[in-house]
Amino acid sequence: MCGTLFGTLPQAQQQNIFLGLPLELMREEARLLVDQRELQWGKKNIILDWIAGSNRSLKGVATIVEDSLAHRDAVKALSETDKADILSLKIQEQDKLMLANREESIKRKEAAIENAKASGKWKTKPARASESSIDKSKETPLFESTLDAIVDGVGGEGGREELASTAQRTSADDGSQRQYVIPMASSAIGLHSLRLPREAENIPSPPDARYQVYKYLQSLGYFMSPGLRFGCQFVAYPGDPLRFHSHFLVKSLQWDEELSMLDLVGGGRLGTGVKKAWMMAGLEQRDIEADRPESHGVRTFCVEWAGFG
Amino acid sequence: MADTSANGAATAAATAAIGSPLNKPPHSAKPKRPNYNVIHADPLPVVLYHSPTLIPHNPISLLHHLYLYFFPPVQSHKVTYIGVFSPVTMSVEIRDPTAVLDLWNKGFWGKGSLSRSEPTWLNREMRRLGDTQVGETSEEITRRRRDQRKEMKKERARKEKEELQKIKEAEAKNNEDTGSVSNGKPIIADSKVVVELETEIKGLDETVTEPSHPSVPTEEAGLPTPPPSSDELNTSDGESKTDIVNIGSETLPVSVPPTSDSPPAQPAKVVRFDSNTSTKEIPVEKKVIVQNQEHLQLMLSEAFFLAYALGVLSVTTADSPKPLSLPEIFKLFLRHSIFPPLPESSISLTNFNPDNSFLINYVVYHHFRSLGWVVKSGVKFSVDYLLYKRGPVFSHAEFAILIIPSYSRWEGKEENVGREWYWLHSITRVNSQVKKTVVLVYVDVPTADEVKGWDCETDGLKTVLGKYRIREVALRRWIPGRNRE
Amino acid sequence: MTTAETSDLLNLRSVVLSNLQHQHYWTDIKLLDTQVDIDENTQNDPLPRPMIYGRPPEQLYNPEPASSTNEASSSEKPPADKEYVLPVHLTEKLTLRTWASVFDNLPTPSGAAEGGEGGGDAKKKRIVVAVVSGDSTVVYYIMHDGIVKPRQN
Repeated sequence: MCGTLFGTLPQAQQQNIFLGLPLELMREEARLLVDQRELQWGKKNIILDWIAGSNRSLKGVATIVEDSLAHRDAVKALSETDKADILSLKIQEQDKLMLANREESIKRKEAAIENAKASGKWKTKPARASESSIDKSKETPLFESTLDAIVDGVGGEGGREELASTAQRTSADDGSQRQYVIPMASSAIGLHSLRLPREAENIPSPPDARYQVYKYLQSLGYFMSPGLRFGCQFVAYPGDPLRFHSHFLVKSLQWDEELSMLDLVGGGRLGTGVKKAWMMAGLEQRDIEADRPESHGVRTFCVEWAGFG
Repeated sequence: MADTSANGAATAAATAAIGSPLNKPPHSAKPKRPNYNVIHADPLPVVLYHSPTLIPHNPISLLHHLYLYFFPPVQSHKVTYIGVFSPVTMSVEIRDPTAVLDLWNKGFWGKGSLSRSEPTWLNREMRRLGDTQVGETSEEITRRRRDQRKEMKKERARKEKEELQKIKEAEAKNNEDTGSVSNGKPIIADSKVVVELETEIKGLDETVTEPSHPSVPTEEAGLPTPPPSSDELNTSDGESKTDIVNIGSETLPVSVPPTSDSPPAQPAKVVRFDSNTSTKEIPVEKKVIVQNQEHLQLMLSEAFFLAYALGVLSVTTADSPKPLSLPEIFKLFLRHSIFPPLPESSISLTNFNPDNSFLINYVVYHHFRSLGWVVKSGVKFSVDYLLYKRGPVFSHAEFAILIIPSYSRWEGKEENVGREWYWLHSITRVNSQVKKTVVLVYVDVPTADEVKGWDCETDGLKTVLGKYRIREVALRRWIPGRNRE
Repeated sequence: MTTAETSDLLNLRSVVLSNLQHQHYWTDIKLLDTQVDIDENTQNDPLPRPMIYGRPPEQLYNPEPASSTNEASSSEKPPADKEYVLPVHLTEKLTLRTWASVFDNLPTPSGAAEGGEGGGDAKKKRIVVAVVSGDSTVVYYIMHDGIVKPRQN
């Protein structure tokens, strides 16, 4: 399952995973998650925050909630003690962060001075730029060094609010002594006890034919992505979409749904033009045969141009 | 550095070897192209007599007019062709060779039932059987082109295989030698060959779609071929993935002396129409007699336009040679608008369903034919019609017509049920692959009440057709990154 | 299923038959009307739709065109596989049920599984769909029963 990153450039959709853009799931994907109960968080419009996942449990029950409503309700439902707890937690976090920052900057300055002295370039007034470049030369992951910059840049109390609303990451312990917590606006609450409904009424209900076909192909290990770009319902990849070309342009149908031959011709031609096969599929409406248990009762038909005519 | 230059030489040699047999065909051996401007001088199968302008003081022009007045041209402007309606093909068939030629030459009516476009089956069959007196047909050119393309692809596949093999060997060898990967130079020599082959294939493909290319006038009419620009299209959709082979050869830090053995030159491609004729000795002069199995087939809309709008076609059935009346034709066509045909009893001329697909298709056909377009079937591109500016031999179709019935005057009838966005996009994609613009043609269908009683009026059919309204919406995919000029 | 009369379907098949024979030079053509025409050991039930069984001039479906390179060099080509052709009309609308019933009446291919990659796919049933349109164009598409990865063309 891979979803689609939100707000990317059309030319480089998948590559932007590293920018931490929100991930939009297809209805079928979200539904499958709910059905399989593998994830815990979610939002209406099936927009999930990709990064937020890092500090939440990946096991549990997938629940779809309407974000703003659920958030408001959950906050309302908090007891006074809860609120006090959260508040103190927040203050603690801030203190910890400030402390860590201060220690770190001192440590880094020392290190920088050490370095500079060692290389014989010691000046009385080390410039900030050199400091950060030295910082980078250590084996710090790129991501972290940018965080440093942000934290350093914001510095005092005044910038804290701004930081909270823009920064989206909660960095984990990287194994070294350093630790930063960049609070998200709602992270404390989220960590504490956001009372999300365990079963939401607004579970996405994709058209049954589509969902059945999606589930079937997914169970066979295919990765599906939305097919609008290619003129079909799903594009099915035999593996990671970043590594493979897709194989199939999928159209799902009800078992007795009529399909005009013009659509079949169009599908076949469409697929052959981009070296894919056009697939129509649907849940078979009869006794599921014992000898094809692997098929979930879904029948598929693949169409390619015959090469003549 | 020595490496690279050797590489270059090898590449050049390789491409030369591959290139030579393939560069030879389509253009050089091409027979002279017929002059289509002369053949298709008349846009319609209607004979018009131009009388010179009447100049009162010039007795000669007066005389001419008097002559025309008293002795009108023997052949009146109405030439009538005879077509037979066939329930088997659900269309009108023309078998008289002169009529076939005339209808094709003057307005590109119909299609050879065994050809892509112009009826050329007889010629093809005669050549296939060894006749030397007939010229090459467009189908044969297409076929040869497809063969070439296939050959190229085989070659490419072989190259890639070789390349992969080589890399594997090198890898193995390297592992044996050093056991560690070092800073060797990547080999790119032969992947370059692959790339060049790729471009050549593309080149071939492009000549196929090139509309102005003289040798293949009717090519595109028969082109459900894997559309050529697929590679580019993939890229444009952000799906670009480097060929695995190339990745391999570029990133593998192995250094191997470039192989100087250029790939074996392929024997020049022999054009093979059929396995048994290719080996046969062809006598210098040979005439073959073949029974023509082909007819010119008119779509119902074409036939109706010729019969009704132009009045140059009379339609008979296999049962009797008596031409059908216009209402009879109308009814027959309404019945056979879909497969399986509607039962005889279901169609009443006094009270027919204006939502009949023959009528809707005909209205659109009539609309564009009247505006001077040559209208052909669009089945190969998953649309209803294709529009040609002058005709298939002159240029490719520029527009693809998609008919969408609209029921604004009907009560409680939903429009375009069951169509989703991706469907529309599939149509535009197929057509942009072949550089056509999709035009959605909305046909506003009148209600049954509106067309009731038409048969009591004189020229009631005109009234009926007048009730249909047509709106056109041209559609083109707009990609921000690529539409900046 | 479809409401098409048998005579209409036979008409349709005759169009495709003529097209295959005369435009595309198919040979060894056999018309299939009942199950017995496919397999002698079955009931004499009519097929859901009349079909054509014949041999194209060249191998129609080859999952691995690359492997055919060697074969091209040897002048003797094995004869192309025979194919099942299903005629349909452009204005028809078919359901998955119809397609499934067409496939269910076909024998399972004897498994041209020579190992290798295409082996699994070669076992899948396939038909050639011939779509007839009113202007006499017949377009042909290959349809497989099941998931068959596209050819590398």
